[in-house]
Amino acid sequence: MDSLILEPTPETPKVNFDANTGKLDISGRSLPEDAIAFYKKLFDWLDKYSAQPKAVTSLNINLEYYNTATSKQLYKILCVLEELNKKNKVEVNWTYNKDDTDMLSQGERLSKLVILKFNLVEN
Amino acid sequence: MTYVYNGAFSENLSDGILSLAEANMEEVEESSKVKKKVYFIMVESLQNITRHQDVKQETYNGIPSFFLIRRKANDYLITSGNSIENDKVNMLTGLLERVNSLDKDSLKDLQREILSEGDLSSKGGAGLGLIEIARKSGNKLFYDFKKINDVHSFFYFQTKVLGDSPLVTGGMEELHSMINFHQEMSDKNIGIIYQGEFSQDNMLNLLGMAESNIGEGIENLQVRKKIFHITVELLQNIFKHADILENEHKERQGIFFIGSRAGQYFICAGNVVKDDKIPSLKKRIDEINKLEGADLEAKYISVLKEKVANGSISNGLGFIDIKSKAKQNLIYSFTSLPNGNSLYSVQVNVSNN
Repeated sequence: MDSLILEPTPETPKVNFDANTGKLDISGRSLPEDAIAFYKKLFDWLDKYSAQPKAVTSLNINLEYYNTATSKQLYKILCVLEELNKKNKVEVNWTYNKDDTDMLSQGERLSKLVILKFNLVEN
Repeated sequence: MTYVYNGAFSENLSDGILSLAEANMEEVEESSKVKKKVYFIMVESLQNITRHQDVKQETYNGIPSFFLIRRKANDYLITSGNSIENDKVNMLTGLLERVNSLDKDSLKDLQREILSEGDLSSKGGAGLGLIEIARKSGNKLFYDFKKINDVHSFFYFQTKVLGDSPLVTGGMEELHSMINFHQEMSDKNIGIIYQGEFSQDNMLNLLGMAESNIGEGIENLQVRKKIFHITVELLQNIFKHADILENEHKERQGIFFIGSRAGQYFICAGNVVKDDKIPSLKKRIDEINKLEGADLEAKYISVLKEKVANGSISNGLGFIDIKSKAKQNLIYSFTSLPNGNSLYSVQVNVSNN
């Protein structure tokens, strides 16, 4: 299957969901007013990927800013991966700037909501 | 539309102001003739500000500059303010008076004369700019000086582009009211005021301006990010609940301002809502204001889970997030407007530590 690559814009993140390696990267800023519309592409892709996943899937989130509309979509992605984790291994790497305690606590908050290997990575 | 900026200017900021004004003019389907005039005058006025300020500091000797554009019916008022040396006041007054004394044809002749002499330095590049502004506006140029100290004065400069049936007068009244407005804005430490269309593009543009107006002065990354986050949430929240103003253009109109006072930053956004929405809007904020710490966090998580489980498209998290980031209550107000509408505004304060 094809990978999903979306170039960043001032309000949406860079997305690189690699079907060959199972590495799913989201980075940059995510501030869309209509986050549902933007993240739909990611869910459609995840739907197909879940049917033929790699042995190990890693979700790598490295966001500088995101709005609350996005936080619901991130939680939804985690729920999809939690389901996938029942059959195939999934891990989450949440990267945050070491001075950015807020981004760390956002990661901590989401890590508590799902049963997944969740690494908080300081950068 | 009204846009006012009081602070340090950069080229990026000027670009932001220009695109904000352009977007608003597109929205009201302004004629291309007026659009071009306004755009040209804005460019010249903004360059006038950036030309005179210290490149590195983005202010002139630490004195912030000022820019205001206002659309009133079909008229545009463009006002700029920047500091200059006192010894330039006479020269500038002479130049402005000369331009103001000339009619259309004489202005053209003077422009040709300066250009053909090819000696821009002795007459000054700004002279040409002023002539061109006068020609484009078809109006007198309005100006005033306010002495700051022994070395500097603040130079206010106003241009008018009047529509078919002008509401704005041809006199000094508007300039004087803008000068008072600038004084008041400086006293209250307000950096940006915007009233106009709130598309997502305009919002992003305003965010960029807010970042350069107050963001660069804040060394603490957490405070800077907090202000950015809160501004995004506030704007997206307020305007998602906007009742489109029932004017001919149906645009999403609203107000926004940002500033700082006594170690606190304040961000305020507002829009027009139908009066029957007031009780539910009040209730939502009152409920969130009552929550602190762990209760607030629990509320965030329960709303997050509920909204995702129901596939709800409404957000519901914005104000909770704002309260938990600001660690201060949201301050709201409703100001009655005609036709069963009210101006609904929410202000958030963020302390600088």
